[in-house]
Amino acid sequence: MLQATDLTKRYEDGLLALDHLNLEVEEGEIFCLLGANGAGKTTAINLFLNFIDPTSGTPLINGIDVTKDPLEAKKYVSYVSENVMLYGNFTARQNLDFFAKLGGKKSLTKEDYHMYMRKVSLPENSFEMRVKNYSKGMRQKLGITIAIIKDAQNILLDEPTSGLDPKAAAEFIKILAGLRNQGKAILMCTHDIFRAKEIADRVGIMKEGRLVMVRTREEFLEDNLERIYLEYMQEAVA
Amino acid sequence: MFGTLVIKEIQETIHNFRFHFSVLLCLVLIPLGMYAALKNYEQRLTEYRESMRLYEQKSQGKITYNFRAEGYRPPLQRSVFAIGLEDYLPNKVLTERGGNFAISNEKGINNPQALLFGRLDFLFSAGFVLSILALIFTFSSISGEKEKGTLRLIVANSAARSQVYLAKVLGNFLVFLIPLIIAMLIGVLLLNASSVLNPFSGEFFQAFIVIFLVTLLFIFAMLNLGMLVSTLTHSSITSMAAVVFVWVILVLAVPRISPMIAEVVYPVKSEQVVNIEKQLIRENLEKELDLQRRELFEKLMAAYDLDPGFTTTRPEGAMKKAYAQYDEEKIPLEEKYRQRLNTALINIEREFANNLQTQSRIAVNLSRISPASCYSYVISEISGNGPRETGNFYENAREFQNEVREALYDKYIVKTYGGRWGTSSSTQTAEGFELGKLKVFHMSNYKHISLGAALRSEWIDILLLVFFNILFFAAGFVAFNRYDVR
Repeated sequence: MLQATDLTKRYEDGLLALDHLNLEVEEGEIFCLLGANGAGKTTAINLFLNFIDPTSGTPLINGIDVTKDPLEAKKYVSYVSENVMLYGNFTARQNLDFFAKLGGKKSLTKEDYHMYMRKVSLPENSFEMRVKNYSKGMRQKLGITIAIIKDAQNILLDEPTSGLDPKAAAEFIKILAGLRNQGKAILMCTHDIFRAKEIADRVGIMKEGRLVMVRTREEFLEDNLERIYLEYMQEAVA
Repeated sequence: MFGTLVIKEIQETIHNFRFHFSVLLCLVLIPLGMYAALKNYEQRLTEYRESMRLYEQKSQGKITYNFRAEGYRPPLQRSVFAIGLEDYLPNKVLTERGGNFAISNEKGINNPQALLFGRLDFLFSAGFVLSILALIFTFSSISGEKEKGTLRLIVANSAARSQVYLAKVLGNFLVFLIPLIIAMLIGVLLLNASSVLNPFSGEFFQAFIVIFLVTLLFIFAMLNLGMLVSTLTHSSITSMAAVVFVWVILVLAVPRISPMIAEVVYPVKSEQVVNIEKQLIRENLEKELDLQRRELFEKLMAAYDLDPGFTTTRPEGAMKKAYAQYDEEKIPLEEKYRQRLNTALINIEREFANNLQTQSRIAVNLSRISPASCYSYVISEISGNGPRETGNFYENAREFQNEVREALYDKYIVKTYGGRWGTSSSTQTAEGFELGKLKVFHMSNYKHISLGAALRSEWIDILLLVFFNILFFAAGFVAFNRYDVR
């Protein structure tokens, strides 16, 4: 479970990037954070991953305070970034092997890695290919494979479908649905309102560092999520 | 976890073109440098032997009481690691009856391009090429991974930043060892093929091991410096510009600018001026002594009622008594002047040496802000071609002068009699001395600075290299713990 309690981040230049975020993502739930650029979505993820220290408040992963015991907390979380780059001179399997070992999975075989790559629909001939020859979609799939192999109870995704073609994005969403069914708590930051609507159990809209609205799946389907989102964005512009 | 990070670092570096480029450069330049220095050593050895032979040939049967013996500096096997100051060091001493031995460099400029551009040897390969390769290895270790986004992925796992940093340092160092060890082994095999040198014998092999270890220390410092630069920048382009700047400052500028600053801050007269000053003092004192001797001679001749204008080498009667008294009374006079001359010359030499030493100390200490300078001092001193070799040659020359003085000059006693109207002199040899039994003098027991002595004199530079390692590592380590990985 992912929890944020009054999580606040103010940078040295005075910018308030995140303002008292209160959030809980349950097991078997996908929570999509929507918002414009600079709304504070990525800051929230950075705080969960201890990339930056909060000004106040607490990010918790499985009840462990990330600021107090980051290494223990990060055992229970996987991360997929916007542009998965990985090591271009390594093959896909070598990349998986490295990150699997970092994630504590030390006894996986070549066949195991191939099996995981099949699960995310990577083509067979790409398994031993150098990642520098991969397309963006293939790299994103490899990124999610890393998360799958780690098998952490929580997954943080930062704009994972950004730049993907519709087919690749659809495949990606299907994989996420599978992870939810396995009971993972997934927090996904995205601009992609259509994908959020397709997969999210709950959505939250962020504006100027604040979580201004949270709707369950039933609520946002009923209220028309696109309209609500646009209304909040227009308020922001006004 | 740590092992995984180190292995990844090694694999990533080996896959990188920078590694292939480095292997190629190491395998070409280090053995080539050692081979070129070996050829230079062989040439110097041949020249040394030829000079000795010709000197022996021209001196046979020509030794007289004022014979000027020649001593040549033998080349040192360890100099195959660094040619250093070889082209500028004195290589010949010429003894002199009066004690004023002359040292000179008679190599001449027969290869001006080599002096203009510098020679390729191990010190050049390591000091210049390996240092920049070490920086190239690590300059984007952190900033490059940040750019790729892989750093975020690594620290998103439960990998401690300290482990990530240590793994990068260790991984790069281990990979760097591969081309260095192979290149040095090839270099040693090339040396082994030479007929004049056995690289596996005694002090040479010990020197090789010490040089290898000091080189590792230097390379490690440069790798740590590259890592530090990488943690202070956030893109690989900026890192590259920064390491080039740092390399130019530390490797090219600081060692060259330091002696220039020392010359400006603490100017010293040239040796030529000092030699002229010494010559003038000697001439003035000799003139004064000569006058005093003549006055004494005249006084004694007058006391015995003799004509001071008449001198002979076979005195009789009263003249014999006057001569004997003169011989007796001139001893303290000459001794007094000898002491005055010695004191004056020693004072000039000491002042000159002290001034030079102060200037040199300023230059050395300034240049020590660069690890490249410290490394050059250690390697050149171990190779017997460092700045201390000039003083060592001077000591050897002085010993050679004493040796010749005891064996030849002191065996002749020259007596001069006369006043202002003219002099006559006689030369006697010491009892039991036979000129015919003398062999041509050689500086055959030249004492090079031993490996132990070189290390004792260079401990501060070795310590500084350790310090630079700790400093760069600690600074990089602290900076990485605060590094913004986003």
